[in-house]
Formats: sequence, structure tokens, C-alpha cells
Amino acid sequence: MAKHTNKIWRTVVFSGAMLVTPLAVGCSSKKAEPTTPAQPANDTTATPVDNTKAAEDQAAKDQADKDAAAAEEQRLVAEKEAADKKAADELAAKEAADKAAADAAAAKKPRPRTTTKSRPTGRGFILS
Amino acid sequence: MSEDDDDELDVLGDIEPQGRDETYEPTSPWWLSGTPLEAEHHRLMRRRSVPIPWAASGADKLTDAERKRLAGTWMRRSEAEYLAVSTFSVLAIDLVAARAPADVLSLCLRAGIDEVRHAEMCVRMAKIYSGEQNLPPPGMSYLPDDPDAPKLHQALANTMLVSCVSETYATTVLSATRDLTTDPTAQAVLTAIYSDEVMHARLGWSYMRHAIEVGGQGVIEAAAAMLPRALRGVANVVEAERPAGEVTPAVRTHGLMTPAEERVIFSACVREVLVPGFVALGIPVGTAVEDYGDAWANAA
Repeated sequence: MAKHTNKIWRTVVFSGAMLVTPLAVGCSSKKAEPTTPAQPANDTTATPVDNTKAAEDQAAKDQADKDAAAAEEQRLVAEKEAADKKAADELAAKEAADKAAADAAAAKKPRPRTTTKSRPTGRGFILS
Repeated sequence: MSEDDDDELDVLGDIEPQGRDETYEPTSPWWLSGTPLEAEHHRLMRRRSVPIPWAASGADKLTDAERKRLAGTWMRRSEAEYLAVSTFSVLAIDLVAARAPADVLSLCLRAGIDEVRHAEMCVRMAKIYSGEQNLPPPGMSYLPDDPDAPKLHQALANTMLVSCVSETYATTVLSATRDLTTDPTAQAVLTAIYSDEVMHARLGWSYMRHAIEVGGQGVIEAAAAMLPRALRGVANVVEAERPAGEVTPAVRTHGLMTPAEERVIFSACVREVLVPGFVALGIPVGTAVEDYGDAWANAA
């Protein structure tokens, strides 16, 4: 018996399943996204000190303008992100509804099967 | 020559699996349509690994009882081969649904054609022993179907059932049977069937490897869930009641084994071929070796 099982093991199973090479389970799943480069750190270079009051006022005004511009930019970004998220949520909800409808329709279709047998029978070559 | 080429030669000996039988004659003409399709059918059926010497059968040297026993078994073989046509057809549907690789699809569909050839050869063999031109009864086989299962999982599970388990066992038992068959006609028919079954079995193991690499853990779990069912299915065939009549030494030379011998072969196939293969692919095998161990093998 070992003669036959050895032959079938080597030529059907080992060869067919390519067991000589290591198995890579789920290797074709989505590749990892490339790592996003880290954002550069804020510039911490010190501003040279100006001792005149006018210069201080101007600097304060410039800073206030800069802060206001940054706040406005932040508001616009947040607004856009909210709009994008809403659109994405709506799209996902629509896709889910479409899939559910398609699944329900598919479930109603007859499948090319028969289900008249409850006892599992395999296909073995009947020898005797 | 590659290692694969060596393997192919080793398993098939001097058989050319893609051979063309130049001595081909219509195998079971009473089963044909009587239309122009017949010519194309013969072209398909001519692809046969070995010529079948139909006239060389030693059936006339057997007793009536021995011929009756052989006719019964070859007729049941024709029924099994005929049902296998639909088995591979349904499996092809599952593979298409899962977008299996093109080579897997083409080989699965070709396997269905091979089974038509096998069924024809088996009814011809039954006629040699009985003198009657019978046909297998109509019907189709059943494969598990779960509309809620992912398509890949169902395709893989049914490939395991049909190809990895059933066809691998068929290949093992045919290999053993050919060794005791000396009647030239029966030997050639079994060899032709065997050479096709090798590819039918290898198809499953290759697809299983592919599916695991594509689908990962979910596929492994689907395969593990199918394994006991697949083994039980083949065991049901091995345990099934057989046609009446003794398997005499003369009958054995025409390609028959006893049910007890088949049990031993299935048990060895589970332990030495199937389980090591599934384990190598990371598929849990549960109590398969114990379920079909010595106690089961010697229960007949």
C-alpha cells in the first residue's frame, strides 16, 4: 500500500500544491500603504528682538493678522472636511443599500443546484 | 528535464496523458444522438492516454456468475462516472463565481469531458460482460451550496470535496487496482481513467494552494469545515452495498477489489496522503486519522 500512497502523495499532492515552496497565507491581500512622511516640525527659530515700540506694535499687528488668517484657513479646512465626510457617508450608505438590494434580488433567483439529497456522498471510484 | 517532468513520468509510467488514440472506435454508439454532432464528439473522445483493445477481453473465459458480477460493478462505475460529469459542471460554476484562474477553469471543464469518456468506457465494459447495451440512469450530483458564504470559500470547499479528497482517493485506489488487473481490456480502461484522474486530483491541490494564498485564514477555515464532510462522503461510497456475487481470483484480474481491501486503501490514503497534504497547507484536520484508522479499516 505504501507504494501507491507514496506515489500519489509525491506526484499529486506535493507536486499539485507546490509544497516545495513555503506557503504565503493571504499574500495577495492589499499591500500596506506607503508610509506618509512626517510633517516637518514648526520653525522655532527665534525672531531677532526689536527694541522700538513702533516695531513692537507692527509685530503685534502682523501677528494678529497672521493668527486671523490661520483661524480662517482652519475654519475653511474643517468645513471642507465636514462636507467631504458627509459626501462619503452618503456614498457608503447608497452602496450598502444597493448591495443589500442586489443580494436580496440574487437570493430570489433560482441557483443551478439541486438540494434533494441530504446525505453527503463523495465520488469514489467504485471498485467492487 | 525539470523535476515536474520527472514526477509526471513517474506517476504515469509510460502513459502519455495527452495521448491520441489512433485506433479509436466509437465506444458506446448506442448512447449517441444520431446527429452530425457525433463526429465532433469522437474528436473529443479520441484524446485518450492508451488505446483500448476492446476485442482482447478475456470475458469469455469467465463463468456466468463472474461475468454477472463484473457487469454489475462496471455498470455502477458508469453511473458514478456519469454523475461526475455534473459534479465537475457544478464545480465549474462555483469556480467561475469565485473568478478562479483561467487554467483552473479550463481543467475543471475538461475534467467534465473526461468523465463523459469514462462513462462511455464503463458502459462498454458492462456490455462486454452482460451482452446488454445499457445506459446509466439520469441524474445529477449534489454539491453543498451556501448563498451566504463568500464565493471563494464555497469554490475552495467544493474543490476540496470533489478534487482533493474524492479524486485523490480515486487515483490511489485505481493505482492499486491496476496492479492486480491482468485482463488487457480492463487494464487499458483502468489506465485511461487513472491517467485522467491524476490531473483531476492535482487540479484541486493546486487551486487550494492558490486560494489560501489569495484568501488567507478565511479560506483555511472554510476548508477545515468541509474536511470531515468530504471524508464522510467518500467513506459512504466505500461502505456502500455492492452487487451480489463473489470476487473470485478470476474476477480480480478484471479489475475488482473486495470492499475490505478498499477500506484499507481509503484508511491509508487518509493517513498517508490526504492528512499530510492538508497539514502542510495549514488546514486543521481534527480527528480524521482516528476516524478512519485501523478500527474503521477493519470493520468490514
